[in-house]
Amino acid sequence: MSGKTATAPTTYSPSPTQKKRQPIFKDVDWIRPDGRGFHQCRPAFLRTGAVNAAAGSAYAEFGNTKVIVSVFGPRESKKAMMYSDIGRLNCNVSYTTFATPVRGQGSDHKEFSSMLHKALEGAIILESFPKTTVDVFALVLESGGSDLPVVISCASLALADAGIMMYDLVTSVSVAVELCLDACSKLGDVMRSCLKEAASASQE
Amino acid sequence: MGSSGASGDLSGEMEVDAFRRLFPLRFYERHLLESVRPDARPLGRARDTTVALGAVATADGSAMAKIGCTTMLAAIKLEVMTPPLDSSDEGSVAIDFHMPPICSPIVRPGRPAEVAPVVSKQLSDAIISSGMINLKELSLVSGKAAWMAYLDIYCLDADGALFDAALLAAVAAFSHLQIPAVTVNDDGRVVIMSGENEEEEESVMETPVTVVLDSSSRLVSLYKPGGPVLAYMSAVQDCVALTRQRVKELQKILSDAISDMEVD
Repeated sequence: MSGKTATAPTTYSPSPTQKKRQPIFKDVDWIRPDGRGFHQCRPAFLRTGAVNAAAGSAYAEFGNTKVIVSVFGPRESKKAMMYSDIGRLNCNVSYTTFATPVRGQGSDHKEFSSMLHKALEGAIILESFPKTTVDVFALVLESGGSDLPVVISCASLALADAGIMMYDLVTSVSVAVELCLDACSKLGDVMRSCLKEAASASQE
Repeated sequence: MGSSGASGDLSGEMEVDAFRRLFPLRFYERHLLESVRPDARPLGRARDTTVALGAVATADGSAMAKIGCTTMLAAIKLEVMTPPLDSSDEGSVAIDFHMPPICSPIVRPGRPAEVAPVVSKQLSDAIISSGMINLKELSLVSGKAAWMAYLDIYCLDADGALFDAALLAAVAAFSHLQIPAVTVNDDGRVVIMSGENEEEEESVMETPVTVVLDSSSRLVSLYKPGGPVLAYMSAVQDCVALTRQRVKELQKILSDAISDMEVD
């Protein structure tokens, strides 16, 4: 900063304020604002190996929601002082300042880190890395809705890219009613094929 | 000579990767003797550099720059502020450089990287002192409203040359910036109407020197933060000559990126 102002001036965004939200779920044939039907998921793009500096990483784009997740470890952690015969998982989710239409709104989602931890800890074989810690860091580049499910799926892919032993991939979808199980299994298939592609590309 | 002789004997037996980890200085010295870097680049050549404009759709101007593996994402968001009394017809620019935990194993959520505030300060100084941005263009209503441009640069992958990549991304984001058309509504509020060096090398180096030139090759800033190596005139002149060459390369990359955008 130029040092002219002692405190940062208050600013506001000139964008027009959101209109009052229409009631949704009028009927099953209702078309959503982006042209999708009631049962349709957004087009998804998943790629592993996004970050060179990390042990494993993944980039996910679901419509307008863009997320990068890096996995570091298993490595020594200064926080864990006691001996433990199972490994530790450490998760952190943060937003860029430009992720939301209004600058700085991402700090409202502090609970995502612990929700990511709860989602992943059941699937990771913690006994395979005793005494050490696996760090999972997520950065939401653009928030287009349904952020936490995208972060969880992307984190799962990044853990697989890092070679951390897991019982299975964790997929996550946010849905209104009973479509959860179908959507999750479809997403799981997409993620598996992404990993197969990455593995065969690295063999060539 | 005894100790270097011992490491010399070992080098014949161990693998390249192990030698690189255990004796980094000797590893680089052996390459320097041949005037080449470990990835077979000659000393004067920079890593592959790419720039992509408009990477963030929700921002008023944005760009992603990559130098080798180092990736920077810069975005500018414009908000309205009341300008202070002593510069009532000028807007303002707030530059922030972030290194989120994803970019490097040395960054933890509670412990920010040491290098982040240094690069942040270097960037603001270079951008503001170069006069690249005319603050008067950011004024809306003299004395009442002006644009505050929040430039946020995020490092997505840290592999050395952080300042170079960040500056490139910042300049590209400003070149992509489009100031939206606004009017003042009845309440007096403004509303929008119905727009190289790799990490490992850097840890072994003792004194990095950074030179910033503008597009007409005039010197904008020279930064040499202490260090045990003294800067002789000839060394500084070599650095400036290398920078001049790099400016030409970068200008071409930037103008290619901009003309690709215009075709769309």
